[in-house]
Amino acid sequence: MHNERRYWNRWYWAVGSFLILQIIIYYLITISFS
Amino acid sequence: MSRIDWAILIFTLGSIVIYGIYKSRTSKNLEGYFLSNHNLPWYLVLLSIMGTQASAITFLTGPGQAYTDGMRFVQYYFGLPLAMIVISIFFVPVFSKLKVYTAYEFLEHRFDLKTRTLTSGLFLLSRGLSTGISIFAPSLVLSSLMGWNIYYTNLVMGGLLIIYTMSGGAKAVAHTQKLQMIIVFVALIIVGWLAVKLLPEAVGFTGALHTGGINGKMNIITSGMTSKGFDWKDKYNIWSGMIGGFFLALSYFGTDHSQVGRYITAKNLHESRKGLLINGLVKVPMQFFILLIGILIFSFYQYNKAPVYFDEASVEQARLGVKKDSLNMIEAQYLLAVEQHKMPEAGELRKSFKQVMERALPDQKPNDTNYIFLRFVKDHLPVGLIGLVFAIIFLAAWGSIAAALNALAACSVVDFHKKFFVKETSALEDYQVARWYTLGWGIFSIIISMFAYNIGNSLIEAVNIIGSLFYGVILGVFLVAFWFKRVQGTAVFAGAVASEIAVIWIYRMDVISFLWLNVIGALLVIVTGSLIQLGMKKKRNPEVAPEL
Repeated sequence: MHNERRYWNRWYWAVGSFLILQIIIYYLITISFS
Repeated sequence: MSRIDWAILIFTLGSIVIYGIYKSRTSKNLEGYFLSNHNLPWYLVLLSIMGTQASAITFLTGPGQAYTDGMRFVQYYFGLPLAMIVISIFFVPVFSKLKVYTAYEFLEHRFDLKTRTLTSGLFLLSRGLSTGISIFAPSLVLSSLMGWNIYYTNLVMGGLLIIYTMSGGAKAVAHTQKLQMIIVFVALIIVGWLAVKLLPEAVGFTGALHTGGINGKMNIITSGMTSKGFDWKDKYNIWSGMIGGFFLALSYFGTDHSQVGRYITAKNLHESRKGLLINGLVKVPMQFFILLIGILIFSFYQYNKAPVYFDEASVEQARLGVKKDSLNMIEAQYLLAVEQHKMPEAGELRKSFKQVMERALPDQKPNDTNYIFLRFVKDHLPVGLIGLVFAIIFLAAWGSIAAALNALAACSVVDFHKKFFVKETSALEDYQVARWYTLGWGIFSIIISMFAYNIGNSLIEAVNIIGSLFYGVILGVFLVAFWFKRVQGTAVFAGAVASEIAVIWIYRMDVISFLWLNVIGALLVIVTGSLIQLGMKKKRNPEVAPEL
């Protein structure tokens, strides 16, 4: 049960972190090409 | 269109229908028909979720939106990954534990029959109408661009998929969506690659991005701030995307049965979650890529002659009226500006042309955004690929329409037919009734698409508005169900009705962009439901909701 929760928490962190990473990249593209 | 393109189009569509029929074998009961016997792996769930969300309009609007308004549309999807996390934590375990056939079935477990019936009824109303529109909207673009008969195009767009959706239910829908999405991805990658190849050699990919940037199209992140503060009517900015988009995605994936019906077919909770979370990883990049194609097309037309207006048929129609001279004059000036490479001036003239078009055809509310991508494909891509791209428009439409028909039939049978009309039936009779409902909804959607042609764009708008007006309130009911255990059926029902009236009133005031209506609707249900429950509590002690 504990391992199961840890496994999914890692997924949630991955999805959230990837979104933040994308927003940073998109922001850099926006300022680079404007 | 050349014979080769026709052959590729017919072969692709025919293959999907045959594959759908081949994958139609399932057990003859409701569990087999609507839940695919809970046997789908995560990757099928993922492609099914993506295939349901990505309709034909996604592929028509995306590049056109980037061409006209820039990349900022991608922010609309920023709330989606967060919604996938919330749905995986709170929604999926409950649906999985209760083994529901429809999302609204859960609301009867938690509240009462009237709340379930209200939400399921609202879903049938909005999804039933919007499925007709999702047949009509791409048909209109294709028929106008290619000179095809709109009624026959509607029949192909909404008719052929009924064969496998009716015979195979959720299983056939998921398997055909898998194939459809693979074909769509491959075709889009080829189109993107060719769009770069068609640019002048000295320009290339980064040059195209710079061209887009100079013309204000690389506005991926926008704040929505103006000199007067935050613009609440601005549709796409990081805040409306993160907050409004989050509530919209939560509502769509968590409470719209055309999506819930996809991931409850998974083998188990693990596979449902994995499908949803990977969707959260890939959806934003996918949308980014679709929009990027629009930027490449925009750059291409900076070095090649672009039509002043991409919907030729509407221009011809407008030229029959009193605005003929104005249109001809602006077009001549535009062509001269393009010839002299005065692109900013050409851009301004295109805007003027659009304004005159709007005045010339006020009833049709003309807009050529949806025509840009296919007009580029038709005019500039090689033989063979044109047929393939036209096929992906049909396939994308089929994916979302098939899922919608399956969901509409599931709610009709489980939430209404078996609940109110015929309760005692055998498994085989249930299965047969489910097939008839699928056919019935398919015919209903085609009839709506046929009528839409006579009513015009006002119907499309009306249907889109209905969706955004109901979504927030339905989500509010589900959020109360999950997080406000003391609120009971009567309170949430009254709260939902009151909130719906308030949302319609706010919409009529026209002070806020539609994405925010989802947030307002959901929050209003939570507040009014809790307050009504508090008022009722003073009269008698309510029972706390059962643990789910």
